[in-house]
This record gives sequence, C-alpha cells and structure tokens, in this order.
Amino acid sequence: MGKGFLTYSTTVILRAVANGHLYGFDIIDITGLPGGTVYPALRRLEEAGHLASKWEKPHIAQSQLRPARKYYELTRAGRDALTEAVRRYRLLEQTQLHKAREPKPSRA
Amino acid sequence: MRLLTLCSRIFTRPHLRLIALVGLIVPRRLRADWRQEWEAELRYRELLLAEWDKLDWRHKLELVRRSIGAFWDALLLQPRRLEDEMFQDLHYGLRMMLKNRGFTLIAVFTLALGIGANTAIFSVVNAVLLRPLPLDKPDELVLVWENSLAKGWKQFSVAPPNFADWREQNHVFEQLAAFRSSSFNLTGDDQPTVLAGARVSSNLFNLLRVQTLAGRVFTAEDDQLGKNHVAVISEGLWQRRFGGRHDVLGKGLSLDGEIYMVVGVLPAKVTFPSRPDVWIPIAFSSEELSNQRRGAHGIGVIGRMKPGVTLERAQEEMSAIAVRLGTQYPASNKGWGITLVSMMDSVVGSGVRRALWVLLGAVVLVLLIACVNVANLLLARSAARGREVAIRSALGASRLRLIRQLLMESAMLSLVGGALGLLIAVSSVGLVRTMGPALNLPRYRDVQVNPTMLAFTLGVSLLAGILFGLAPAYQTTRIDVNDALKEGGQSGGAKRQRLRGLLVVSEVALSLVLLVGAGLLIQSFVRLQRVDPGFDSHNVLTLQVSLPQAKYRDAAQQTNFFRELLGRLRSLPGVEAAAGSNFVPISSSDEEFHFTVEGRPSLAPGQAPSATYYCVTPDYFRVLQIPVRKGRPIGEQDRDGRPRVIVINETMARRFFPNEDPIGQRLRLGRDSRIVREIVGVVADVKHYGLDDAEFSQVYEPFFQMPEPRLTLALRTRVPPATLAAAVRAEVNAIDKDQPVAFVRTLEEAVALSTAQPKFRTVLQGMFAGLSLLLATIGIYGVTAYAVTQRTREIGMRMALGAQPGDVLWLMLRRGMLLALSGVVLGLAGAFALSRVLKALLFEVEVHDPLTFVSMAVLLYAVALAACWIPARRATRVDPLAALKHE
Repeated sequence: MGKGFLTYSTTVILRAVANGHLYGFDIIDITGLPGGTVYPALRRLEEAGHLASKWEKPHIAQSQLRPARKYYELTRAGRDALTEAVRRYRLLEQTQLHKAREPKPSRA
Repeated sequence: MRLLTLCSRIFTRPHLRLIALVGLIVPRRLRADWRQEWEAELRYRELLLAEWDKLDWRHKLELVRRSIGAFWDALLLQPRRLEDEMFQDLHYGLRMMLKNRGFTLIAVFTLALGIGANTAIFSVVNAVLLRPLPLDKPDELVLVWENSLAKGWKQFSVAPPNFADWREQNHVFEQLAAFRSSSFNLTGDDQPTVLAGARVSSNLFNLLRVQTLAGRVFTAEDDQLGKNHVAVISEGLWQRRFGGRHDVLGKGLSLDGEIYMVVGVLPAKVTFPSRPDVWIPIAFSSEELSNQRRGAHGIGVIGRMKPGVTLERAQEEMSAIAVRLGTQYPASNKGWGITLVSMMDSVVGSGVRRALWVLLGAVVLVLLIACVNVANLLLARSAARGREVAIRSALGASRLRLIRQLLMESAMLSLVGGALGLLIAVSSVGLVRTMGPALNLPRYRDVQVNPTMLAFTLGVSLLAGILFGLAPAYQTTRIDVNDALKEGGQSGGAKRQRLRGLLVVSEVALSLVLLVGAGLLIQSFVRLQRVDPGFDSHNVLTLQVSLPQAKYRDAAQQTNFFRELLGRLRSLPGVEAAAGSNFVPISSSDEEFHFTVEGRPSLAPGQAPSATYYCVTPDYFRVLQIPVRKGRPIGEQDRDGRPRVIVINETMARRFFPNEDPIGQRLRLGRDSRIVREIVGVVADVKHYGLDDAEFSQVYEPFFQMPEPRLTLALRTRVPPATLAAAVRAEVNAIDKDQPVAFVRTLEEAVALSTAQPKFRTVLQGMFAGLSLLLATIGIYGVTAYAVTQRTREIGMRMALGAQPGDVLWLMLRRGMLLALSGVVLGLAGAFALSRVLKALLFEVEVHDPLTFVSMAVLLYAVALAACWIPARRATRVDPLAALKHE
C-alpha cells in the first residue's frame, strides 16, 4: 500500500485496532467485514508501517492448550493516518448528511 | 474402514484442516507464522464457544466460514512469493556474474554486438519500411506512370493529354494530380540561388490532405495560364528567407526572372514531390493538352484511391483506359500501358526494401550465432556448476526452481548485453543520420532513437536470454544428484558434449550462410566497380546553369552566354578543357527521342526505336574522355547555319547498322523531325543511370545547333576539381550577377553516390559475416579446448601406454573437424536455399555461384580447423606423469 490515503474499510479496520480490538477475529466481529478483507488489509497496513504485530505471551496460550495469537498495535504513523482518514471521511459524511437533511414527505 | 477414519478426521474440526491446506500456497518464508495466526484465532474462538463435539451446526458453519477467509488472505500473499524468490535469484545471479568476470565479459560483449547490430538495423527498417508516411491515409496514395514494356521502360513520365483523359475516365481515384519537379533561380535581395521546386496541379495539396501553416493552398483558378503567378513555399524557405514572419503572404518571389506572389506556407513534413522549397501551379496550356502532344511525356501523376479500392482494382481499370487510348490514338499511344506504384514503394524503392530485409535477416543470424556461443559458454560452465546444482537440489530445490534461477542469470547477462548493445545502436543511428545523404538512403531523417527501438532492444534481449539460457539450464539441472556429488561435478559429460557439438554445428552452418551471402554481394560489388562507365570520372567538376527565359528570350542570347562562359572557364588556371551537355552521367533522369533512319521503311506507330538524347558542346568527349570509335567528334564547326550532324554510340551502331558503315547515314530525330541529321561519328557507350545500366542507344547533337536555356557544364581539371567551385561561380556572376549556379559536384561524387547503396550493404553484410566467422571460431575453439581439459587424464594414460603425439592430435582434431564438416554441409544447404533472396541485389553474379559457395566453405573449414588445431596441439604436450598425478 502506498503512503496515500486509506480506503474506507481500511480506515474502519485501523480504527477498530485503535479502539482496542487487537486480534484479527475481534476486528472481524466488531467491523462485520469478512476475513478475506480484514486479513489482507492488516498485512498491508503492517507493511505500510501503520500497524505493528506481536505474538501473545506463550504462557497464556499454553495454559489454554492452543497456539499463541498474534495481535496488532497502532504505530505513530498509523495514528496520524487514522486521524487524517477520519477527518476526510467525516467531511464525506457531512456532505451526505447535508443531502439527507432535505425535507422528506411526512406521513404525519 | 480407513476411508471412514480419514473422513471423520476431515470432518472433525474441518476449519483447522482447511488452514493447513491453504497454508500450502502461502510463501514458504511466511507459512509458519501465517498458519499459527489463523489456527490460534480459530482455536481461541472454538475454546470460547465449547468443545467441537458439543457445538451446534450453526457455530460449526461459522467457524468454517471464517477459515475460508484465510484462502483470500493466502491468495493475496502470492506476489510476495515471486518478489522474494526473484530477489534471491537476482542477488545470486549478480554474485555469479561478478565471480566469473572473464566469462561475463565475453558473454556480455558477444551479446552486445549481436543485440546492438539488431537494434541498429531494426531502427532503420522501422523508420524506412515500417513507419507509415507522415500523410493522411498514405496507403491510398499511388503514383501513376506510363510504361512501354516493349522498350523496357516500366515507369515512364506521363503526357499531359493522357493525364487529362485519365482524370475524366477513371472511377477508382478520388483525385489525380500532376506534378513536374524543376529548379528555379531565385533572385532578389540576396545572392542568387537555385531552389528545388515543383509545378503542380492545384488540387495536389487537397489530395495529400495537408494544411498550410499560414495562408492558403492553390485554388482551381490559380491553375489557369495567366493567373498562375502564385507560389506556396516550404517551412524551410520561410524560415531561411523570411525569418518565419507572417507578412510573407502577398510578397513577391522572383523565380527565373518572373514574379510569383506567396500565398501559403506548407509544414516541413510536406516533401512531395522531391523536397521542393517552392510550389507553383502547373497550368497546362491548351497546346500542351492537345492530341498532338500525346507523345510528349514529361509530368508525374499522383492519385488518391477511393476508400476500399485496392491497388489491383485500380491497376485493372487504368490498364483498360490505356488500352482504350491506344486504339483511339494509335500513333502516339499504341504499346503504352499504365503502371501504378504505391507511394510507399515509390519513396523507398524495391532495391532498398529488399536490401534492408536481407540485412535484418543477416543480423538475426548473427544474434543467433551469438546466442549459440553464449549457450556454449554456459554449458561449459555448467559442468563446473554441476556440483553446486546437485547440492542445491539435494537441499530441496525443485528442478523448476533451479531452471528459473539459471534463466534469471542468463536474462541478466542478456540485459546487460542489451544495454551495451543499445549504446552501439544509438551511435549507429547517429551515423546513419549523418551518412544518410551519402548513402542515398530514403527517409534517413526518420531514423531515430525512439520508444519502439527501446522496446525492441528489451524484447530481443529477453528473448535472447531465454534462447541461450534454456538449453544449458535444462542440461545443467538434468543430473543425478548422487553421481554428481560422487564425481565432483564431472557427470553428464557425454550428453553435455553432444549438445555442445550440436550447437557448434548450427553455429558453423549459420555462419556459412552469412559468409556465402557476403561473398556473393562482395563479388557483385567488385564486378560493379570494374564496369567501364565509358568515361573517366577523375578530375571532372560538373555544375548546372539554367538561364531564366524571361531574361534570355531567344536562342542567340542563350548561345552567347554559354559561349562566353565556356571561354572564361577554359582560361581559368587549372582547367584543361570545358564543355557542356543537357545531361551528364551519372544522372537520375534523361531525355529519350524516337528516331528513324532515312531510306528505311517507316515502322508501325509506337514501334519506332528511341535513343537517349545528349545535346553537347565541342570538347565534350574530350572532357569526359569518351573514346571516339569512328569518324569525328562534335567540333567547333558544328554551329548554327552549318550542315546538321549527329554522333551515335556503339550500341546504336551495332543495332541499327550491323553490316554497313554508320558514318554518312542520315537520321530524323523526334526532337524536331523536320531536320535530317548526318551521322559523323561513333563513340563508346556511356552508363547513364548507373554502373549497372543495360546498353541503350545514345545520340549526341551539337548544342550550338540546338541550344537550350539549361546546360550542365563539365570541366576537366589539372587540380582537385572541388577547389575550382568558387572560381567557377565567380565567372558565372561576372557575366550575369543574378545568375545562380546549381549542383556543383565532382563527377567522382556522382559515380560514388550511384554505388553508395550496394557499397553500404556489401560492407555491412561483410562485417556481419566476419563477426559470425569470429564467433563460430571461438565456439569451435571452446569446444575442443574444453574436450582437451576434460580428457587430460585419458590422454596422459594413452601416452603412458605408448600413444604417439600424432595419435593424440588426431584423437582431438577428429571431433572438431567432424563438427565443422557437418556444419559446412548444413550451411551449404542453407545458403543454397536462402541465397535466392539476394537475386535482385546481385550484379552479374549468379545466386548459386559455385565459386563463392566453394571458396566460402573452404575458408570457413580452414578457419575451423585452425581453431581446433591450437587446443589439439596442446593435448600432445600433456605430460603423462603430471596428468596421472592430477587426480
């Protein structure tokens, strides 16, 4: 991924990480996006330096008899990119809101 | 039962099985992490829910659905696999290139020559043959010529009344336009100069679909006598003479002493008919269009075919019109047909087209040989790398992976070679552009470095890399790991040797094809150079003076000018003799007139013989040193008011007076058939168009009995002729300060220009053949030398057991000689099949000339033998003790 702007779904995923949903499946749950979208996006974000990944402490995993999970954290660059992207999409929302405010025929 | 277990294993926790499966396509470097990440998530989720067996089907399905997302994830990771491995390959390839510097240098240099030559020739082919002409729908444009096949004239200029009829009667052309190239004396503020110009039909620019830069093109009204004093000028003249100012429109140009008003400026890309600087309307007079003038051929015709009309269809209809005109006007038109030539063919010419394709074919062969050579080098090296390959394959590298690695290396070699080749090509392109005029190469200005050329180099380089890399890669990786490791990389020797032998055979064969081609061209060129042109071109300066008729109205004024000029020129220091003629060989145009011999029955219309017509001043034969065979040359006594005389050439004497003395015979000539001329002399034949000209009848009339306003002067000099140019101009301007001089050049230059193309293609073909010979020699040498190294131990053993040096020599020579012989036999067959493409380019040499075939085969074989001899000699000096200890 270039250093350009983020797509909407990527922004959503980045925001999910920022809000503390650090694991792939958590992100899938909270965003409602399919795994085939979330994982490639995570890899691209990591490659672009917006995210960093770490493995879960082994002792936690071992106690539950499963492999360690991988979790993602926002980097400083990621935080900046997110702010930038959110600002842009908010502008977008505002323009949409503006349209929505047009008077509608009322039933009442 | 086993199947059932398998099924149950798959169906218990299928999501995890799926991850394991999909993981297979994830790049190996990332695979472990990838699997762990997905598995951990799925198992964590599973734990959160319940044991698998206790899950309801909806949750099970949800887990499977999640795991399917992993497939997309894995798929999107694929590019990384390629990047990773390619990077590895590149890195490794670079290390190998640097490690074997000698090998790399030879391979890259060989390829650079091959690719460079290909790119250079391709850019010429592309510019001259492939790129469309810079006009709208150039495929629709054709030149329309008359022909008289019985007389051997395939493209002859057109008579204006015929042109007028074509215009009315045809249904295949959107438009037809006439043109006549001529030069104009431009006088005025600056020094008088001669401009290249053309008189053209007013619709020409419409037909060509060109727009002016400024002003307008001609209208139908301009094309009427009396209203035709308007001119359209070229962008070049506009810049040179008028500084590109727009107020040029409406200004007057003094051309041949008459004023023409400039009405438009055409862009530089408009070069029709022959790079003119000025166009003026042709404005035929009613006399020119009358039926009496149907024999007066003198204009060119260009047409634009209607959309959808093919050249064949147009040719059919025009031929039908010619037949009709032949029955309608038998006296002038019988035996005359029409030849259509596409614009492209007429710009390029069939000779150049053929020669360029042949050259391209030759460089492709050179590149093939270069590839074979590099492949051979790679194979030799592959023996040394056998062990490395074996180890890598033992460590788990697949064969495909190894082949890819090796191909990457060869592609890198060829790309570096290609980059170097591009440098060669770029400098050659510069060379072609500077030498273009001297080479007589059409469209040479279009030869340039452009994206097509770069793409071609890249494509050819990659193709070459695969071509020469494939066989070695295949061979190198086709090894038994066990054997290879045991024998220390000496395995597969026999097979490899067989492949190398095969490569050498093909290399020798290809090289012989090129050598035979070059041999034929060289022979042809030597014969061309040996042709006696009939005159001596050394120390002759020629120049053209064209008197404006507005100023020199009658014959007396014209003769006076030329008499005075010739007198002045004769007295110039360094000048031995001076004379003039309407045409001086070697020329691209001539005048032909019908003639009849007095006292013989007159021939059927259109059957009357014709001769090339020269109108010469006294001393002409002396200046050009044309030998007088019989009678006397044209002299001072042959002037106005004296008996009319004529001199003919040997061919005409032989053809028309085979058993009688031509001297004293009388002729009537088409130029003015009322006059009877007596033959007073016979001179040697002169090659008019070029050294490869056939024999034509030629007649010489005294200029001062039949003066013309235009004369080409020829000076025989005692000093280098070019040094006199300025003095000659000064003498002309001493008589008339407004009179320009054109086409000042030495006769040697004219002759050289006429043989420039054959010379160029012969030199290039010779260079390519020489290069191929060198490469083939290196190839044979390499194979033999390698065999000697490989068999050192065996040779030592043999010598220890009593083999004589002669036996060893023979042992080593035998194989190389056999290879060379097979190559020569194959090459002879190939050359026999291919040399016919040279047919049109050869002069007095048969395409299957046995001498060339045999001598080239012997040459190649001898060189090949020498290349084997050197390493074979070395084999005889093997010290048996050292060789045996070596192991």
